[in-house]
Amino acid sequence: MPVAEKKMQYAPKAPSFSTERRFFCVADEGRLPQRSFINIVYRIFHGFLLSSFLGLALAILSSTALWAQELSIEEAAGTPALTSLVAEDGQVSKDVRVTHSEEVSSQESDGSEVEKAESRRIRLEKQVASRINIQSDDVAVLVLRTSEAIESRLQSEGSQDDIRLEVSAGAGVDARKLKRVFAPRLEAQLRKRGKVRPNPRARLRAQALVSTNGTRLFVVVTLEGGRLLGPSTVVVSAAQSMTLERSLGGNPGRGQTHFVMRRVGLLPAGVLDVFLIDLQGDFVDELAVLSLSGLTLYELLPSTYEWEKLEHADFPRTKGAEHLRWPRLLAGWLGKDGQGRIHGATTAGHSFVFDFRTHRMLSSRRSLVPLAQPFFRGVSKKASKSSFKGSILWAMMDKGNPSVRMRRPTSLKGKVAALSKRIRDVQSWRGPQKLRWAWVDDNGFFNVQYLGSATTRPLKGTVGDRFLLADLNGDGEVEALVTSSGGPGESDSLSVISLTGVELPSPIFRQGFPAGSITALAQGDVDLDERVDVLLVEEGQGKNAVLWHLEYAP
Amino acid sequence: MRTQKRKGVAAQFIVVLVCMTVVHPTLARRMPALGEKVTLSLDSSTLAGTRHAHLFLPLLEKLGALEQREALAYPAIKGFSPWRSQVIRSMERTLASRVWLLEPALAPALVERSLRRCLAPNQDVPSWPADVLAKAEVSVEVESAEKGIYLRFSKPVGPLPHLLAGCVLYSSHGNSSGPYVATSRGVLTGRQDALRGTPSMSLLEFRPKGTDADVVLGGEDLSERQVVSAPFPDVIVLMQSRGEAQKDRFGFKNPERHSSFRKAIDLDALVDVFAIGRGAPTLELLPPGLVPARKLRELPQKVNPLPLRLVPIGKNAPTVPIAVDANDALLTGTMERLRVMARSQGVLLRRHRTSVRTEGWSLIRWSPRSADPGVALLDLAAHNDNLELPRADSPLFFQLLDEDEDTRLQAALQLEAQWMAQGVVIPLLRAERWFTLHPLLKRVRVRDDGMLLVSDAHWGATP
Repeated sequence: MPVAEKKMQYAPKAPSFSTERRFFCVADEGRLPQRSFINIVYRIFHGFLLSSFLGLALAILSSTALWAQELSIEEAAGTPALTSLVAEDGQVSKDVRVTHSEEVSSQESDGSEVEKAESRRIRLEKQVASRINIQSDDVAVLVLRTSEAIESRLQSEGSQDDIRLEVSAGAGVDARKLKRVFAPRLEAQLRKRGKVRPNPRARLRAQALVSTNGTRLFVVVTLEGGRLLGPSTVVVSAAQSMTLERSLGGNPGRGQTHFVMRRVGLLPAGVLDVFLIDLQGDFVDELAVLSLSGLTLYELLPSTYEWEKLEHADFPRTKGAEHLRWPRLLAGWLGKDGQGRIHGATTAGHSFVFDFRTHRMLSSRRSLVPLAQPFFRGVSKKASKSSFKGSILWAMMDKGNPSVRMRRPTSLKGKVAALSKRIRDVQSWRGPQKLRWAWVDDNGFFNVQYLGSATTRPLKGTVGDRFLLADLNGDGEVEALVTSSGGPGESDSLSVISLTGVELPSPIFRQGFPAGSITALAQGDVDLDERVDVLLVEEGQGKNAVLWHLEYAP
Repeated sequence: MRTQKRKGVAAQFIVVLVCMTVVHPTLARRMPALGEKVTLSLDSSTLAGTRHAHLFLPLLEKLGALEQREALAYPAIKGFSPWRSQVIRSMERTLASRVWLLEPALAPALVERSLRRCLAPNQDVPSWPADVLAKAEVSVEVESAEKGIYLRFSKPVGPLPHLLAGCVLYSSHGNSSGPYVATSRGVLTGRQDALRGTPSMSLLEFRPKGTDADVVLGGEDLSERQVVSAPFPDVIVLMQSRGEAQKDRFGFKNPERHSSFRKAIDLDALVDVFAIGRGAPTLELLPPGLVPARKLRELPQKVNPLPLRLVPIGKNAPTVPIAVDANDALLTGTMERLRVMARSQGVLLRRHRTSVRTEGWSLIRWSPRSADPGVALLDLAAHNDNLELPRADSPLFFQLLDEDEDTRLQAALQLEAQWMAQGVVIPLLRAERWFTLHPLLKRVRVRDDGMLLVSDAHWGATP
């Protein structure tokens, strides 16, 4: 018999009630009582006492932990988004776990007991999860609607037999998640309702294909066989939500190197530019969105991973004009200065500076365009005073023209050898491979210039107006994110290319956007994972723009 | 040997020189660039309208399929989607569309003057909306007030947005108000201070029809070029005066003879020869696009074609004047065919130059200038004297400008049927109005009145 088990067979001579630790520290073998009648009575009595105490302690511990967990859920229930998150079958949201684990960990320290506590915690979590009303869960609602629709259709067809349910994933849906989250629920729901029961040997076949199309998630169930005269189709759709996205959403870029791209939210259409900036000093970037309606700030809620509106500021009124008319070509720029203020400009002629601390939106000097830079690198001492302010490179704009002119070409002369007269975007970079400047010229070509060498065009064709330079995979090499050069209303694509000096590099990541165009892109850190996060805005015909998150995931 | 070598070098030099001077139309990118050029090859009648459409800003314009961001930047007038305007901010109607209140987005005096010039009868400035209102015996008072500009009509005018689409903004000096200005060389250049910004195509060069250009009216149907058509087709109509309609020389009132006539004239062949197949015979005056799908009138199918034979013609042979636009190949070709058919009936057709068609026949290409069927028929009647409207006290007369869209449509179909029963209107063909475009030219649109607009156009990315 192992020593540990032996130890547990014997009770301590004098149990201590001071701490749990002392209580579980049983006496060693040398101090065991002798085998006599009194001893046997003593042991029986002690065993009874011990088991009663153990039961009592467990009950107290359980109720305390449960109370703590319920409390945290009740607190969180104030935000409707959270209630939808905590309802996964057998799973509880991260913040709930944290609260509970803290509660438990304060009472235990021994290794074996940690395992016990863990198993107890999981059991308790399941109990809590089962008590939460899951009607707010979008997946549950979708399951319910699907099962109702199947029942209703089979009832109208006069064929309420058992069905052989097969669930498969289509575009934008992760097959594994579907198998884990949706299929068992649908089966359970049908079984619970009882009208149409799932049966793997049934002749009536129900093939459910779950896929995303645009901003909706579709469940298309084809019913065939059995007593049905012909195939019948049931369609249930739901607006794509964060819960659905997280529960069922697939990674469209799967299989391409190590980049993960996922949809993280919706923004109102009309986005001109986005910028990630840490406004609250918590090291997590907030999202600044420049749109046709003004500047809107969003913060990421860590509990739900949803972007919630923080503040909105209209464009400042200009003197002498009620409002500025939007030109045919809609473009906007955002940047952050050294004092953490947000500067913005649009092709309509808006030019503003917004201070988050004072919540004031003020007009700034007209025709100045802030071109956000990934890192502040002054060209020279003299130039840095005039051309740079914080992480902004200032340029000049003509109303209605998406091309900008460099504010003082002379200040960059010699540093950027062949900088075009008019450009769409420019960024500087200082890395091991000595890339200094990259820009998109007015003809749509992507140019790069390395330190001490001539300008090159690493891509053969034309690209979109805006691009990003970032070290996405953390290898110290710079990558460029460029979009395709399709015009407004045409399909778009995103390519990540490695700028290591190779001519015509093939993209290390590529993602198509057949139904929309990328209207804005920004880089920053939104999840504190020490990797660069890129947010992209895809806009099409709909009333909402889709926010995507691109990240390197080794 | 040396000479040959020199020639070779010269040839190479020329090739290099040509390569250097041949500039691609543009190198485009996601957001269009400014300062581009486009060439347009148009006929003389379309040229004037196209220039006018680019030089003057319409009071209202219909833009349907816009991207959401563009729709937000240039929103439709509240309650009147898809009508948008850079001149009028909002519109309200009261007293069953008898009184309209327009809130101007620009100087009210400018807008008021433009409205008056467009809607009130004016001999100096031709205006088809004013003609439509005059034909419908509607008078208008334009008055500026604190709230905006009031339009008080003597009768309800429901389809006012359709009429305002035919009105333009006149600037204080009568100069252009649109996105382009005319230059002395005949080209149009983009305005720097245009209300919606400088257009991407900042230089429009017009060329005579038949020459190569980026935009060609009725150009050859080549696979590498794009084709855009007007929202609704033109209708080739044979119009008869009252007297000629009563004589009914071809027997149009008799369905069998009408059918024989159509079989003999062979309209399909005319479309194939003169409109490269872009059209079809029709029995209806109102083309699809103006009216919803409806059951076509039916004529007997199994009839013999009208016999074509050479008959002797005496001195007293009847002669009918026919007015035709000589610049239109389809009209001229149809007229020639009609002449042969009339000759075999013992009638001489004499080509007439005047556009006033009170006597005889006229063969016209009707391009409806409005998508509203009531307004379109009133416009047609206003410019063709032999087309009479119902009596002023009849309900049909009022219904053509009714507030309710369905009532207007119903009235238009009734009027169309009346005209065709009288024999004054014989629809022959539907002919498309199309333009062929350079494959990289994007976002060219054609207005309801068939005018092509390149104000929002840009060059697409290099393939």
